[in-house]
Amino acid sequence: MELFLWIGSALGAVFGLLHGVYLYREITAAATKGATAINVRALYHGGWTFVLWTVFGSYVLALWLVGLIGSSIVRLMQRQRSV
Amino acid sequence: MTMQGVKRVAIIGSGVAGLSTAKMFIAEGLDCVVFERGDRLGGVWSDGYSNFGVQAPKELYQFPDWPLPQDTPNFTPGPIFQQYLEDYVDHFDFRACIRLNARVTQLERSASGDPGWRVTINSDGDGLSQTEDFDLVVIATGLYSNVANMPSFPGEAEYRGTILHNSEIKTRDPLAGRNVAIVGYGKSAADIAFEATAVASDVHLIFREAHWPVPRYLAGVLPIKWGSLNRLASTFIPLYQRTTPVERWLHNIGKPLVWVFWRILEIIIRAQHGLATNIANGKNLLPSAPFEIDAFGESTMLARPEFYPLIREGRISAHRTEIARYTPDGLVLRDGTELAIDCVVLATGWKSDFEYLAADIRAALGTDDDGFYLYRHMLHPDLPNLAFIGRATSFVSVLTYSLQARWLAEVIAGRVALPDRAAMLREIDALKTWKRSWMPFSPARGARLFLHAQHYHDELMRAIGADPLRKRGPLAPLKELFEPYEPTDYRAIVDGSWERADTI
Repeated sequence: MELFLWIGSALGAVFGLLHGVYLYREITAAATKGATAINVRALYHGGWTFVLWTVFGSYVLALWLVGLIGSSIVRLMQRQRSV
Repeated sequence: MTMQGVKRVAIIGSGVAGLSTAKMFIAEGLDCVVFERGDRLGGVWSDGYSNFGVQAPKELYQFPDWPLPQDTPNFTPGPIFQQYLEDYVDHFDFRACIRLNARVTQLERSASGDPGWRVTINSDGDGLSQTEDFDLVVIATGLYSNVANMPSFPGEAEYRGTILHNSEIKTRDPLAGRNVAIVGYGKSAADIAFEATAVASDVHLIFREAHWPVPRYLAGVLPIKWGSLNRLASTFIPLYQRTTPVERWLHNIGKPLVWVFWRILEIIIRAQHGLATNIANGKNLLPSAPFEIDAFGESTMLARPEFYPLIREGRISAHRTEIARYTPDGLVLRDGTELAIDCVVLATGWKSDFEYLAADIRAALGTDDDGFYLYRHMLHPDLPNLAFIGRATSFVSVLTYSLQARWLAEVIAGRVALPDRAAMLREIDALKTWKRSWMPFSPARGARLFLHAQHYHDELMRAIGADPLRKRGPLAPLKELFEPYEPTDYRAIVDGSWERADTI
């Protein structure tokens, strides 16, 4: 269980970093004038994104696994029905 | 393509779309005339069927810059909303621009060959036609018209009962003491069935296909806007025409998450309304399409809380089939059931009616069965200085139309540039291809946005140089993710006081 939480959080941190950087760049790009070298608002949004992904990473991973198993079973059942 | 030089504008229709456009254009210094065929402003809100009302919570269905009165009941009743529109016009002082009983009978290109339009108007009072020239015409009459869609079935001529369209049920009187059959499964069908249970002897609801209801409160607790109108939920819906890398990732490697999101929602709604039980004369009410697709169809409705309990109690007898034929005293259904019916109410919607458009205009718009498609849901490059406001349906229509009007005002002022004809046509084609690749057919598919409204609003915001992220405060990132977007979030956009891109 503890290992799963660590894996989920680590994966969440990776995705959160990517998502946070993307959001930072998007918000910065929209602000052309009056933006300082570091856009504080963009950094704040990006930071929050990273934190949320990291905190909820293991829950997201659990749901992803449930979805993967569930959708596979449904697909299998549908294939059998059509056969 | 530009719209600069526009000074005089005709707006056809005085519903929500027409009024928000007029108010905004007048504030921009344009000379506007609103033509309303009825004797009261308000469009559909001035003349609805018995007990009609707004199906969205009141905070979602109001003008961004003119809130509903505090004491307005939730899910605003139609007459109260109509009064709200009257008050809106008085508050912003543009009643003088509205011409009632003025039916537009013809719209043709300006004789001079310049961009501009000649409008022929027939005023009910004198019956005489008159023409006026305008630099720009905005068609704000919504998706449909006042031409009822009345499907016919064999045996209709011999049927001795009454056949009505739901729009004719202005009071409960036509239903009182009768055996009533309502055909359809949309909001108006559910509303009329609910009305009929109060006065009719027997109420039957006949529909071919069940659709997922959108409950007012998910699991009876969570207002549906929290589960459908925030940015988190809007990433789970079928991919928009233009996507972000995050959405592409989610719908690719993250697909199981999308799947589980919708299946959990379906399980909740299914349990909440007992859809899987055989309450429709031996059949259940489970839709055959998944929620995320069905929600974009013709019959999406936010169900009244009483609707499914009335079916379960048998006070509304639901028949999941279709009408085979009329008999002199009733109906025979496709599943063999015979019903003694003396009043049939067809809650089967409306037809599109743009008969006042000259033939060349209709040809340019196209004659596809699923309606016509427009650039940004508003313009067609071959019809310069003609715009449509209100051909973009969403659960927050008032907001959507207000933002459309803002975008158009910015185009007219020359602050937003339009692409060239070829680029606009390419985008229209792409919109058509995208919608037809997954969205269920409906006669107004070209105008359907629904859960994609947030994406559309964001695009309009970016186009006018406004920040699409409207939430503010220390918790703004959390609000962006979880809090539903409401009209009041866009107040600055509508009143023109937002910070433009170069100052964000």
